[in-house]
Amino acid sequence: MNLDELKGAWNAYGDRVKTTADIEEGAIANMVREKSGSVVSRIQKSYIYGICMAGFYALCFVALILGNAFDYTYFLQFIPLLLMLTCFIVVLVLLLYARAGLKRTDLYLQSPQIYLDEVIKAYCKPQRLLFSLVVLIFVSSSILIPLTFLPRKLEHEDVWHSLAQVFLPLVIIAAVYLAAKRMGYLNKKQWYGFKTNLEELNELKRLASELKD
Amino acid sequence: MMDKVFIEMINEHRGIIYKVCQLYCQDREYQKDLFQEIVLQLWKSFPSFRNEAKRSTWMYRIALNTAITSFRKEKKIPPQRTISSAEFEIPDLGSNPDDHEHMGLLKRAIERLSQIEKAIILLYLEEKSYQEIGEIMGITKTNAGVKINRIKIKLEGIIKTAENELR
Repeated sequence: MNLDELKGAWNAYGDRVKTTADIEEGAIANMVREKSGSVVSRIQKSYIYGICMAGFYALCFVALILGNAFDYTYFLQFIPLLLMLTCFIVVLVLLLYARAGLKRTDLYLQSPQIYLDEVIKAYCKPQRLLFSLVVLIFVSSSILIPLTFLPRKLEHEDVWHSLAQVFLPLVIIAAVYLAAKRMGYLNKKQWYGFKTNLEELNELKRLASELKD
Repeated sequence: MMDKVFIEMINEHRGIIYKVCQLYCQDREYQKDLFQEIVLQLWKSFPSFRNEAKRSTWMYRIALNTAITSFRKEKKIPPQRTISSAEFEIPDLGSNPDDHEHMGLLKRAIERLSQIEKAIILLYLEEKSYQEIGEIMGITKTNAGVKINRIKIKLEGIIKTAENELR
């Protein structure tokens, strides 16, 4: 038996499909009311989550700065907070832009080659942003923000005591960071997503490269 | 009320969606789930369709894009749709007694292909030209030809092995 004989069997299946009854309008209407479970809709959901988080933190930092929650007296002390606020706003804008790109109604109209490339890009973008965000939050909250309290401590306590209070937590954080890095917990791939997401991304990349091969 | 043109179009070309579902999912429930996802994506893309491309090309692209990236669902996530069996039924590839053996063999052979290979062999079985296959898949005509030859060799190998096993 060769492939051409099987082609005949396939045509017979095609004829059988033609004889099936039409699908009723109500059934089609029910189908389009369902929530999508596609890869793209899952990515869109992750964007919405990212947008909400970035928006929430941006508002928190606006409140912290406007209300001067830490009683800062120098403009320099506000810099870490301003830096974090700027980053959250940048992330928010980028995610809104990326989501708008995915909402394009013609995404599925592209050829599988372009479609896969677009989905892979959409998949990687928020994960990279999330990684950058985590690094930024880590650096700002553990290093820069504690430093902003140094001037106030210097006003009330001696220099060595103040420095110890600020830098001892930094030393502990640095030690934890180095230990985590040595134990492999800061592997970039682990940050890029949970195992399933990473597997899905690798599968998409494999499909795209198979098509280009 | 739904757009009449859309409903007519789905019914006119439902064979494309049935065939894609047959090739990409083995389980009946997952086939229905994929069918509904494809109809949903067609509906979402319908406003962008301006009759510039052939309707069938448009449907193949959307159906294949949806099917190619639906790989995670069948492995890990149970089907969630609730459309009843009475509303539509996807004809089974191997249910016709006249060509049962051929269809069963074809089905088993296609199951062993990758997602991309399934898309290309579907278009080949639908007697699309290399030019059309290239246009739908976004690859060159030459690349389409090369891929089809590779898949044919692979399929024939699988069929031979299956036939030997049956003897």
